[in-house]
Amino acid sequence: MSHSDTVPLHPSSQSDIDEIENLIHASVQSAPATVLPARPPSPPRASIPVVSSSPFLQSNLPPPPPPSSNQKVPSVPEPPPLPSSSIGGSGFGPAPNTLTEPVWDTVKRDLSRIVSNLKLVVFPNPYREDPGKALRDWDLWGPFFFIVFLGLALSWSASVKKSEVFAVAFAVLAAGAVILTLNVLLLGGHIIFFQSLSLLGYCLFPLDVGALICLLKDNVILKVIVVSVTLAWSSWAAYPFMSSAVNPRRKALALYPVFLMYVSVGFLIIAID
Amino acid sequence: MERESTKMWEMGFVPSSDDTFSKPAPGSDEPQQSGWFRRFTIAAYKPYFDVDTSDVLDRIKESLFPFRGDFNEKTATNPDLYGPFWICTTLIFVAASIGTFVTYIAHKLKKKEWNYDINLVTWSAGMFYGYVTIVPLVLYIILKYFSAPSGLVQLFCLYGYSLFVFIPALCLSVVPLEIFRWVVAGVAGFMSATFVALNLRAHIKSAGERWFLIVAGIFLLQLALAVVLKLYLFTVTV
Repeated sequence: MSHSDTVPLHPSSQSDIDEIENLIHASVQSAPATVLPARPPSPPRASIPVVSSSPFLQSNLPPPPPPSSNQKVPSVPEPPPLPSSSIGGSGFGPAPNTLTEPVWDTVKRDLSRIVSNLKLVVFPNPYREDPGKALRDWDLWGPFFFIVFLGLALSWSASVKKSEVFAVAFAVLAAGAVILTLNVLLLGGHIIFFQSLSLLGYCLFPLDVGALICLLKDNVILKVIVVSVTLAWSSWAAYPFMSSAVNPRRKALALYPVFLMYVSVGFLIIAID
Repeated sequence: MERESTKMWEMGFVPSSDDTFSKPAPGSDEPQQSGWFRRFTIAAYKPYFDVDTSDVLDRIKESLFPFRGDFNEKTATNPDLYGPFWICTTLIFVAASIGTFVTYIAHKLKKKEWNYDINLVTWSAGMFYGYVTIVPLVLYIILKYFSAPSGLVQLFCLYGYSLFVFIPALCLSVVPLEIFRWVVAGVAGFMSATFVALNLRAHIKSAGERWFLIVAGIFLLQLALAVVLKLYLFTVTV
């Protein structure tokens, strides 16, 4: 604090010829002179700094301004309080809102955001025509949970090579979302990269449900039916976003990879057990 | 308090995220980026994905008629990487799924023990992506050496589309007849190899006397791929 205060004051006092600056300077120099002797404990400290007395003068500054501003010209009090008040206002303004709240509140807020985003993407709602606009408040927590959960569900149901199953499933899902987004961007589509990642992740939710059902019930016909239904659900969820992002003549080129990824995930759900 | 903080989040975070994350798309139109740094922008690869659905379907159709030999000329102005990449990815999926799906149903209906080998995915991914990347790269270097340079993307495009015929072949390999499978693998391999060799012949002829060796090498390599596919992937046993 003291160093940052001393550096700007010295050059300004030497270079500036402005009257106001001179006045401030005069008040600074006069104030410690009046304060220092007035303080009983300060003499030992004042005697130590021989070369640079300014840091100690500055460190003693905070107390003097009130009396000096009261005595001196009305233009003087304005400069010192302004920067300090503006810094304090911008630095600590939003902090008490999120930093001091209980962790449970933060978690609850994130969870409620995931739920509301999930409703926007996966379930029927009036904003489905353009989910890109609806999903302004995107997050990557939801997709992360869905991808990890799907990977875990697959590796739980695998009887051999559990860790490799998780690795392959996680890699396919995570890299798949990135590649599908890049595919749309390369085809000249207009999407926001991370929003698209978020949306594709939320579209995995139906397949998560399917994987969970398949994990609990081991029956071939039931599995095939459940996976078909959830596959159709996932594709239905991803369709409006992917098709509205690109030129109509390239719709199929953008949609085929999405469909391919969901089909392969559905296949993994059926085949691994 | 909660409402206020979410409001702050919306105001503070979302516009800024829009600014930064949408940048690749509009920022990609900026021409001022130069040198090798440009390689990392999406714009650098956009020309290779500048195709419509009808273009891709036409090219796939083209690849099924190997004796025309004009695929290279037709795509010379606009070679794409969309087809090669997604044909490869589809092949990986089909290779890892079709056969196992049939055996899975058969095993389950007979109430037999069943394990899915996840390595099928990784191995087929390595094989197809590797083949379609390394072979054109090597060919590119060889052609450069013989001073008959061809565009690298052009070669990727040709090789990628040449693999399309293996997708129906893999689907047909479900039929549990050894002779039929060899026939399928042979026909698919021959079509694919002829397609690549004929399309490159006209170009490589300018490389001097050795052109026949190079074309024969390309042809045999593609046939070898078909044999490898037959041995390792056409293995459905019910």
